[in-house]
Amino acid sequence: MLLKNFVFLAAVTTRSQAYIQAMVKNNYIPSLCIIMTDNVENVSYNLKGLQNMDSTYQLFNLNESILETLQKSNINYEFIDSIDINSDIIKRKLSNLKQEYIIYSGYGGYILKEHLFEMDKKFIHIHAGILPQYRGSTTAYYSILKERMLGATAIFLSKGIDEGDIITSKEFPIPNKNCNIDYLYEPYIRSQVLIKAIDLYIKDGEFIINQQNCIDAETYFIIHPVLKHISILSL
Amino acid sequence: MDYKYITKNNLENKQNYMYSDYNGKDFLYAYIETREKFINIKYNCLYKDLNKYCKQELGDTFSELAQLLINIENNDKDINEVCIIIDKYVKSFEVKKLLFSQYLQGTMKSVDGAEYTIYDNYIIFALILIKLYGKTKRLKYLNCVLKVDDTLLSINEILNMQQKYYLNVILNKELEIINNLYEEKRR
Repeated sequence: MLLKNFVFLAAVTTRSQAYIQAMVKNNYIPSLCIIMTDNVENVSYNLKGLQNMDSTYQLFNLNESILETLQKSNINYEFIDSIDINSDIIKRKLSNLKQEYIIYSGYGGYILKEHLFEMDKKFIHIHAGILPQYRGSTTAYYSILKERMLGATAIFLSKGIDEGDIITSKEFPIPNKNCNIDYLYEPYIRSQVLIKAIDLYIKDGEFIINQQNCIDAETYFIIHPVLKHISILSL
Repeated sequence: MDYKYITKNNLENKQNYMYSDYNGKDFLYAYIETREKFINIKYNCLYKDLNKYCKQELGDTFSELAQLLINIENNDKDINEVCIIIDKYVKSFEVKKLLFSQYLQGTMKSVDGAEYTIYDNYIIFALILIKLYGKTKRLKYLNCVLKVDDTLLSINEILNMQQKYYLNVILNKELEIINNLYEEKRR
């Protein structure tokens, strides 16, 4: 099914690989994929060499680059010479798009600036944590420590970090301790919630959203390696 | 194995904890060693009385944090109100990895010329975080104190005896908490 009103804005990351592979697997084809990169050579590179990968996990194919998936599925794509979502070049590109929804899979460390919310676009972001209880960074590890589970939530991005309206969410079991969370399991669970969000959109004909209830909200910061280790050793 | 999160001076070499490597139990042993190396030395100081320590005049940030610490010790302020204030310091430290001697009123923007080398600010902040974690079990406080302690250990050679004494207290408690957490969570 062609998602005419959707654009996939992708960084060259395992998260983007997980997203596009999940979409293709579920026959959800974005009308356009825009690949953010300052090095086109890099786009064909796959991430085979990542350490601690358990190859028995077949969550998605780490050996297939974003470009390979796009090409073999005949998905329209183009490159944009920037890795900064807030750059003028990306702003110009997005403002000229006819599509309303942007499935966002950007580079870490970039927070969307105000001018992007003044466009008539909605950015769909999948946060790796149940909201609002797990706002912030590296929340997968905190939820493993607190509740022995992980979750992901699809939201529309807003000016407040992780405060946007909720589309849907889902909880997942904790992985095996050999499964790399940062580069494999977390991208996978995000991709599954992306698919759930698109499923609901197709079923309802629109996105039905809920405002976050801030009573239980907690914002976490980059996890200290000691707590990260305790989290992984608890698996 | 090296514990790479304590440099010559973390205040000048901001630590990046993102995408940290996983190295199993060896990493935890390396972490423990960084703490035990310090706490195995006994430090004596004049101000073991926390109230006297908190009465020092070291700027607005110290005064505010010191008052909050006394409030926690005396149980005379609603813990949620304490948390609301400390959460702002946590956010500011987590982003900048620094504590400034003065902030613009009602904000966490440092005033021009504010110092970040008043080491007692980090000491008292760590004491508060340890105590707040004990009372609330909110992991963000434990997470933050681990980073504050990395910073304090990176400058431990230039701390005075009083600061070393309290750092000793903080690290002992930190190790106890981490050990209990590990035992509780391990499979």
